[in-house]
Amino acid sequence: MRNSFQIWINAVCEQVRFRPDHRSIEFELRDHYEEHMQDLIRLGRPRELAEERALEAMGNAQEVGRALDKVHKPWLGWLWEVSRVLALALALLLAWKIWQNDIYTHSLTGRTWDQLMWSVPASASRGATDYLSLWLAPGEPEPYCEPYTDIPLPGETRVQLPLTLWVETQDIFHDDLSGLYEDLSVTADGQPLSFGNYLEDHSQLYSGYWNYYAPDGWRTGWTRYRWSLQLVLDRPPRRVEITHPRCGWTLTAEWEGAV
Amino acid sequence: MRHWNRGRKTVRNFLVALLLLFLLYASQGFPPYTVEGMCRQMQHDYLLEELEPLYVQRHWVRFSGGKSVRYTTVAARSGETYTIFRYQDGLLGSHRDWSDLSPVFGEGAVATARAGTIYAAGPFAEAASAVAVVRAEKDPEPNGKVRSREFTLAGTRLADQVFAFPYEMNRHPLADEEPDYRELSLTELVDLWYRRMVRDEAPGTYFLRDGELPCTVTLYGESGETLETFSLTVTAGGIRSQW
Amino acid sequence: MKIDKSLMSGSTTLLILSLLAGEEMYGYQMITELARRSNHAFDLKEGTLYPILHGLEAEGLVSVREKKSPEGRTRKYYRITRKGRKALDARKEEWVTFREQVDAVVNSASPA
Repeated sequence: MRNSFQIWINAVCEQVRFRPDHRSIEFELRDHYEEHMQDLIRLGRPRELAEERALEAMGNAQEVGRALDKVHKPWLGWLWEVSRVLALALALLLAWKIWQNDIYTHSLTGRTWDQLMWSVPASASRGATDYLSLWLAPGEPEPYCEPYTDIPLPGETRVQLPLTLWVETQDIFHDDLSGLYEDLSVTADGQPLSFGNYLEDHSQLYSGYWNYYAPDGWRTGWTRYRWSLQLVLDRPPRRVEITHPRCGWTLTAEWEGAV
Repeated sequence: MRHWNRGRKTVRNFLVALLLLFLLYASQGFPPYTVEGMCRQMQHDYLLEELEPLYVQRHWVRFSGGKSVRYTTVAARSGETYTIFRYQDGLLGSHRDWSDLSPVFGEGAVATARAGTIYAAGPFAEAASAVAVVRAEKDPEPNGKVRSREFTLAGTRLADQVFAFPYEMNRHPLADEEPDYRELSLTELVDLWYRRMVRDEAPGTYFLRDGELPCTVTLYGESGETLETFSLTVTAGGIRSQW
Repeated sequence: MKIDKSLMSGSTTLLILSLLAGEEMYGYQMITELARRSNHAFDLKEGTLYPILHGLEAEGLVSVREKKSPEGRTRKYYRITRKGRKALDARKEEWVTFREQVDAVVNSASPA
């Protein structure tokens, strides 16, 4: 007789189009049926009769199934499944990106932090020499971290100043622009900064220093390069001046409201 | 809260998915999806005036190991400045391809070599045809003799202001004896003349020196008359690049 | 006394929500409880109970969770939500009005 309930429940589930719900429907109805049957046996009915009565009480399988199908809408069911898979997949993807360190935290936190800390510097200024033109990018300064020393020392401020170099060179082997830094002098709020590198110079932090990062290769002719000037200072600067004394031009970046 | 019904769970999941999608997109630095977006980003990063796309090419590169990557190459113009740059397309927007081949800039015109084609962008609208002459040069020998060879490549118009000059891609098999340079192709010559052996490393490993090859683009009119000549350069690495 | 089915059909939701207003219950419990409280006047068919329960859940009037019963079986328990309580109050009011009106008509007709 156990089989007769199975037949009944199968007939119910057949009507429910959203298949993933079949299991939970069967689970709930079977539990109901078994408890009812047990109650009848406890009341003294023979097992056979109890099973028959309990099954009878469950009603018409087709009708129950159709009524359940109306509630278990397949489109909602599938939409729900899709939403689960989608949310899970995206969460895993984000976790993977974080695990791979394939995230540009600057775009998440840096920008908003910068915009709170700094106002946009004055518009681009331009200087020129016989062999090169320099433009200072009006982009916002970014905090930066050296690759191997991620944590700024206490009392240390790091600023990254994007620069666009617009340069004309005849021969990259003779006008090696990576030597340009030798000609430049950089001051922050009137205080001269030495050119240096973090590991060597961080003992001289008090006066501050600067460095640059240039990701592009060099080419002859007129071209543009993205540089970033990296300053390590004891406090946020209000005014940074980059001077080429030999050629007599100065680029200025100013921030309002800095301490 | 834990026992929401299906409808509410679905709405919640989609909202969560939307938030995650935004976080993912932000975590990638809001990469552009469209060519306009790429131009805007370039414009911002390189302090350019309004960048106008002239030619867009999308192509797939299949790497060994089965990984396929789609690239978008754009030639664009900003006033007198011409630029050719490339983005690597992904599900989460496109990322700029950083190398000494991308982006390249030039005042008046620009050229770049990439996997068998020299692309040149400039004020070429008037031209009926174009020819590029690439000159490969060997470092001066001790006796002062300079060996060089010129390759003449016929141009195909890609867009109003963009020409392509295809060249043959084959590699010089690293022979012990130096072959006759007059019989070699452009890529083979680049391999031979712009190659630097790495000392104290595994024998046979070498890299290409950061050499530039003069590339003269000449425009011709309807009746074959010369309209204009542009002196541009392409890099040895670009000529030899595989994708 | 058994009650005519057609009289019951409109008020099953009210009955179920009233049952759940007191405590969390599972399906079989609801049926036995209903029979006990109504002195076996209401004999809810399980076939009608579950579609209604699942419908109430989809509407957000009840919430469902799986819980171990005192006998150690895992069962689906239904509980009324805040929205369900509001709906119950509305249904109750409706019912009271309906009953009063039926009474009024029935009583006015009887002294003949």
